[in-house]
Amino acid sequence: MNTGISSMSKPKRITGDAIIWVMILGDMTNFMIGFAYYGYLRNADLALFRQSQETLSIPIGASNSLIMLFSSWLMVLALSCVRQGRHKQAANFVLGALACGLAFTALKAWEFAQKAEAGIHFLTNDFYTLYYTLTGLHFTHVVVGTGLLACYAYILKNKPMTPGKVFYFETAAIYWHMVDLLWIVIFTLMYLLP
Amino acid sequence: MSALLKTRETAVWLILMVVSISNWVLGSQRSSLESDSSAAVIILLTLAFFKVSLIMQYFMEVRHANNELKVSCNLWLLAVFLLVTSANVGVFN
Repeated sequence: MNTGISSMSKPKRITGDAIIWVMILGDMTNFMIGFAYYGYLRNADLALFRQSQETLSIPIGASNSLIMLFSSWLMVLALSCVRQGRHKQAANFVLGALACGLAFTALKAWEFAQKAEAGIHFLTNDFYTLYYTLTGLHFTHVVVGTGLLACYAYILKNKPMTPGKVFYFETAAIYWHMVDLLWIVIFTLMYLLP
Repeated sequence: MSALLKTRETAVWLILMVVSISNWVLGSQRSSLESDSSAAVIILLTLAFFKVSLIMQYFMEVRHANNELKVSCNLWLLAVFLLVTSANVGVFN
């Protein structure tokens, strides 16, 4: 088994722009503080949080987890192709990741619409305030990411990426992996915890 | 194509899928876990942060990064795991 993209990376370098790491660690820290606050409020009124959790669909949340993981893996393959100069194949992988991003937004939008139809909103109770805040913020990250993927799918479809530009694609891939990583924790906290 | 797929990252992705499906199955028994909810919270969050760690190390390539980024990411992960898990088992209440 070869080591894939990793073996093609220069050793001891940062993947993507250094500033994206500062931004994503900061961004993820904000989310983690939100997750800790969720835990604090959850333990303050466990019965209410359990009752509210029952209105969330575990199959939909879990499907979104698998969709995001699949899209993350497609971005790993796309980056590998970009580094090897196989831009058309990379574009296909990015299109796959983009389709996953769109599927995620469609499922999440449907879930938001179901809640609205049931009369559940941001101020219904503490659980839903955090549910809408954290999943809503994550949703905007996914939307921004799909826009970014659409741009790269178009660019890669039309021309190869020069070695100096690979670095920008790496930055986009890092961002997309962050979106996947955040959903893993959101899904566990809001859908699965007993 | 097969060389592209036969990578350590693909193996990691398969592990992530298996752990995710296990999480899904475990979480679906939510009501039966309520009697020992602290242990279930710790197990589910440990699995979630294990997946986060795999994504950071292999997909975001932190394991090949310079020491500054590697140490920063590992310390960050440990700190947020402890913070989020402690908060969700009620340490701060």
